[in-house]
Amino acid sequence: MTVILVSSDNQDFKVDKEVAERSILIKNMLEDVGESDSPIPLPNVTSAVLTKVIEYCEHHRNDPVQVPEETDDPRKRSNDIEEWDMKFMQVDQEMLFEIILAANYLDIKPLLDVGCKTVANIIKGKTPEEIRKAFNIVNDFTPEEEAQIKKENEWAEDR
Amino acid sequence: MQPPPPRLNLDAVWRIADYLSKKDLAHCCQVSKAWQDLWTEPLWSQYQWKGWRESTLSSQVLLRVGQYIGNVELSDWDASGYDDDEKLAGARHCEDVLRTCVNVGTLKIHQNIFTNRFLKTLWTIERGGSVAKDVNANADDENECQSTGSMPSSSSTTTRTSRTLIRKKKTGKSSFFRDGPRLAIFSDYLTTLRFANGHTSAEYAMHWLGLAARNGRLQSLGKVELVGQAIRRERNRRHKEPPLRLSLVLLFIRSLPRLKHFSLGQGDIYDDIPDAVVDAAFPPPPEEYIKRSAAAEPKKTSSSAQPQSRRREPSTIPLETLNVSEFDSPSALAKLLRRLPALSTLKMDYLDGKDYLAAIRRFHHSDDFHLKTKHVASDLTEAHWASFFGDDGYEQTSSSSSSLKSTLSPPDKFAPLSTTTASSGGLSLAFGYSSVHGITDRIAKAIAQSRIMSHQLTGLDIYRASNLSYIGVEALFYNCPNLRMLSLECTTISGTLFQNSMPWACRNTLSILTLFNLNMGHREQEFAAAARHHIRQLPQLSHLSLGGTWVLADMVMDASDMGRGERLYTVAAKDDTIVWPKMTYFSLKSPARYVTLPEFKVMLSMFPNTTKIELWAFNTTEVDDWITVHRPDLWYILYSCDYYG
Repeated sequence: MTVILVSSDNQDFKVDKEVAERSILIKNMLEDVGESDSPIPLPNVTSAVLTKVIEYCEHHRNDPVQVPEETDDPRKRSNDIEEWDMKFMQVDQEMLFEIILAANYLDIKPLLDVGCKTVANIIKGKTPEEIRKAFNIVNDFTPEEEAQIKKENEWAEDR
Repeated sequence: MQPPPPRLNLDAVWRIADYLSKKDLAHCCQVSKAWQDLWTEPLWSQYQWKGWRESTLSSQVLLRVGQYIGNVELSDWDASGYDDDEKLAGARHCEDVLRTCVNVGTLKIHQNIFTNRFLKTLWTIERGGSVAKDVNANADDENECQSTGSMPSSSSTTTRTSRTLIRKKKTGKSSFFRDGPRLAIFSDYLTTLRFANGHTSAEYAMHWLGLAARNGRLQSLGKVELVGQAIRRERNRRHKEPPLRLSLVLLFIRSLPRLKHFSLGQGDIYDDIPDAVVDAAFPPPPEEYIKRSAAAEPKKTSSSAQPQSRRREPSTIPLETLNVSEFDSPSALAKLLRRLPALSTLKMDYLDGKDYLAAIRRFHHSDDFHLKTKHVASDLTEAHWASFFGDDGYEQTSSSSSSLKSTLSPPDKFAPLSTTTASSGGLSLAFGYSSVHGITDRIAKAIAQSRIMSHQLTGLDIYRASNLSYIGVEALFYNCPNLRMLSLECTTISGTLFQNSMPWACRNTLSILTLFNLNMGHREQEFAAAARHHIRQLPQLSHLSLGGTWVLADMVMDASDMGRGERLYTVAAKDDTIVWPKMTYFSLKSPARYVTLPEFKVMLSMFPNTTKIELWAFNTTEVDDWITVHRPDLWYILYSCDYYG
């Protein structure tokens, strides 16, 4: 069985139900409406991003459903990313952030985790200046403000 | 320059933050103003505020980030060494913290915030706010939250985004209480609260906390510790302070819907409320939870005497762990236990010779119910003990009820024997703190001869048992096959202990063994050799703590050629090397036996999986350096050889 997903720019994507149901949002929608051929609109996801998301879901269609880790200590979570996922995430930053937002919207936790790990890996170990460079961010602090915020956060530096 | 990166929502930021260290988060906050807004909350949620002297937070910073701080420990702000100016400064800082950290999840207060004159303002009403206005303001707050469909207290699964949204509403200026503390302790996110009461009575704290809970606050609070009071009996003697009322304890426990762990430092709870009234106000759980003994239970006045309209549905109090020092009477304990169907661990420090154990046994027949006691032996006579554990009473009762499962409290990782607990199902005792009424040979033999007791006994903590000889100890070793923990300290033991070379019944279960400061007269050498023989036959040994006399140290190592550290230790070469693969903690505290580095290496080869070690070392620097290089994972304490002189 297939379902039709409609992106924000009105492109239709025909995908297997099993693949589409990697998204909890879509799974719940399908359960709510029952057997229906009507297309599912996804107004927050562009066709470019949806293409990527579907590619991810296709690849992981047979993965076991992830158990929620809410009780786990987040500090103990690993930053490791599988090889395929790492290649999948080799996109420009705009797309990377769009994928994260789409994964969040569509409620695809494994994809969201991979996206967040990728961003975390970019940030990890970098100085503020290096982070600015990595994300093309302009420093809009005055030198005084910068010194102040650095002093406030001193407690986190040596731990 | 390219535009800033695409937007990130708070959910994504929190998820990314889960993979970042505090340092990385701090760097993110320094990137730009937009990023500072995004990353401040994840960063400061990890901040642990401790003591105003260590704090570098100004009032301005607190105002900005206080709402994000999740863990506050107020300590040492009014220490006796401070002058009034310092105490005042500390008090002001505490006030700032408590006013601004309104969403704190864990709050520990080590000094008295309730009655200290420096913190008086915490008990006053917000300036300019009338009672009615405050109540209305609060009502508005509540309505607002309800209209959003998610009260914070009932939304444990609320996402961080929605939590943030609600938080903004809750950090308004409303002040619900006319008087009493307007503190962070009323945070809806507070899950753990620890008060060192100091001179404040527990009643005072419980009154305010209970009131807050009954007014819809503190709905997430799962753990409360009210500790640090003077012994109530002492306060009663000095200040005529009455004991703690059972009715208040019941009301308090019932007011907090998620309270699972409650510790009350010095309880001395007295029975102030007739059973019928308790039943009307605090209905007991359904009958299946309660196995009441009609014969033993005092005839209670009929609860039907109470108007039916006053009867409430049985409450489902979720309390699982209760730690109370004293009860004034067994009936107070019995009444409390009847209303705690979920209780699985009860810790009591004193039994004062009354028949509390019968009350416990009457209401808790669950397989996994733990009773942990301390300071018991001084209160419990041999007659009490024997009547409870003796063959007749004990076995009759247990044969007519569900079997009591032997359990041993899991050892604390860092202080494996710091608590004097010994558990055998619902019936357990720790012996200690008395040279008068501790375990005796007679009791030990009673245990050994009872088939049920000997098989259920899993732990014993024996301290200064002057009427215990090697006969009693060996009776336990040879008849208790499930004994997992034995601690024997400060006791005079004949040197003939362990001379019987037959294997112990508990050799395959004993995993925690402490032998410390044992007086063996002139037969120490015999004792050491015999003990070594048995210890080497304990494959499950995971915690071994020896000390007090140098002979005890030699129970593990044959030190016949020992030269106080001057000659190398040669056991590995001349003796069959013994390995305890499960040993995770080893302690050797013997002021006359200092371990050299080569000996230390031999020890580590005997305990390859040890993670914690405490030793008297001949050259601490040398051993310390070696550990740093070769076993950086090892948790260790080294005592210097000149410690004693």
